[in-house]
Amino acid sequence: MSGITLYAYEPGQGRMGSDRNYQQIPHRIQKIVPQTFLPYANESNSQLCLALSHAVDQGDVAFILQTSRMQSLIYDRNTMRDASMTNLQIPGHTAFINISTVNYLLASLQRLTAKSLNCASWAVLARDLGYRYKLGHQRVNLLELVSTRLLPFGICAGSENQGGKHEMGLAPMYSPRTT
Amino acid sequence: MEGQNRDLVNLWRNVDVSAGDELIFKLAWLQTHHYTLNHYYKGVMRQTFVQRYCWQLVPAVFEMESQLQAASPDQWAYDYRIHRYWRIVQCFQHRASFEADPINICDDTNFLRGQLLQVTFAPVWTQFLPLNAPDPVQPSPTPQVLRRDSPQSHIHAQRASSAAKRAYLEAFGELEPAASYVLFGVPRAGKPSEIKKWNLSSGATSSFAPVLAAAPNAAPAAAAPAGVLAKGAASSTRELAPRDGPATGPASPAACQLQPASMPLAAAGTASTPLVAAAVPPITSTMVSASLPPARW
Repeated sequence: MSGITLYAYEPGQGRMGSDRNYQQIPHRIQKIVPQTFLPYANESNSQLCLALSHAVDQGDVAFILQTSRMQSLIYDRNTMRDASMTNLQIPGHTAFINISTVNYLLASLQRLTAKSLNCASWAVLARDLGYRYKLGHQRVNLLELVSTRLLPFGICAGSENQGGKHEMGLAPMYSPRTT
Repeated sequence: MEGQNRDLVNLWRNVDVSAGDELIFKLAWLQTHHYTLNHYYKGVMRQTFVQRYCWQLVPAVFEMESQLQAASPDQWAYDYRIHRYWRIVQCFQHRASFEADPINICDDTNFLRGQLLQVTFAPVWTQFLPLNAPDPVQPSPTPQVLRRDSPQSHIHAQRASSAAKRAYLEAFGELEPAASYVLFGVPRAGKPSEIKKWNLSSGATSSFAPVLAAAPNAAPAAAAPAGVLAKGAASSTRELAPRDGPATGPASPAACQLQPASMPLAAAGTASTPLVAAAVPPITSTMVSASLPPARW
């Protein structure tokens, strides 16, 4: 029982600012930023998805895309054809997007009309997001979408270099030297 | 997540940001055409729509004094102070704007340069009350009767009303009796209500009869403690004592011990600092303690 003092900032033990209670320490959590599959802007590519890698990067405001079916965002169309994927629950995965992608989604969803096909990619995504585009793009619907489905979650810390040296160039990947 | 961050990309680069400013995201009615969704060098994703106006989420600095945004024929009305917005961060430092053009929020490669921001990140979806909304607490529907003051009411307005005095005494009377005397003067004695206020019931005054009989030569005012002194006898010469005066030993008959009734009577027998009217014949401490019932506190 030696070396235990009452306060960290006792004389000789450290400064008053050393007390962690008075520091602003941001809460951090490690999350995987998965590749996201979004519909194309051109509806003629309705059967394909746009593979968006590194949707957030160091210093970006990371928005969470809060959908009812996360698997439709993080798996491509081929994987989604598997019958077991329909009712899959994957709570450990989160789709992160940046502000440009948020606006891309807003622009796309507002282009939907009541005559849009129900099976169209954007219509499916609108249903997953709970956006009732067939009622017209009313203010209450759009505000509900922005406030409940496009959530600013945090500020991304960690660059795209985190994968290792192979991310530093277009050269083939090699293992980092350990000696 | 929430907390301090020093590495936020400055999305608010087309506006001046000062320390303490709240940086927000609000909706704006903008032309939408080209989008660049990331800046990953191995796979930059670009998409293009047919040109059209849409509502977009854009960065802004919260300003309460700016003009309300009115509706136009092709869009519904939206003002972020009324219809909600994302409050994102609060900035630590001043950052001058370094892009004159309105920011192209649809291109992620726009944000590859520029100083980072030090902020407190705390996103909140915020809404103020609509300007035409009723107040949460409605006033009473019963019309209030306006008092018709006399033309000289301004004189009375400068004097403390009896209700204000009573409220003050109820709140502070026991704590700061001396201060209340300074404010409102020495209370008059002799009335039943004053007797009650000064902590002496009618039974207590009746118990002074033996005292009066024992000291027939004394002035009537001397028969009671200071609280029940006759108005004309001593009010002009009485002085008030600090409540917690130092005790200087047992009281003598020569040092007349008259104290406000707000003082503990137990202390009345020992405290000698209170000064009383010289013209008032003394009451000894033994007389007071023997003739008065216990004080009610």
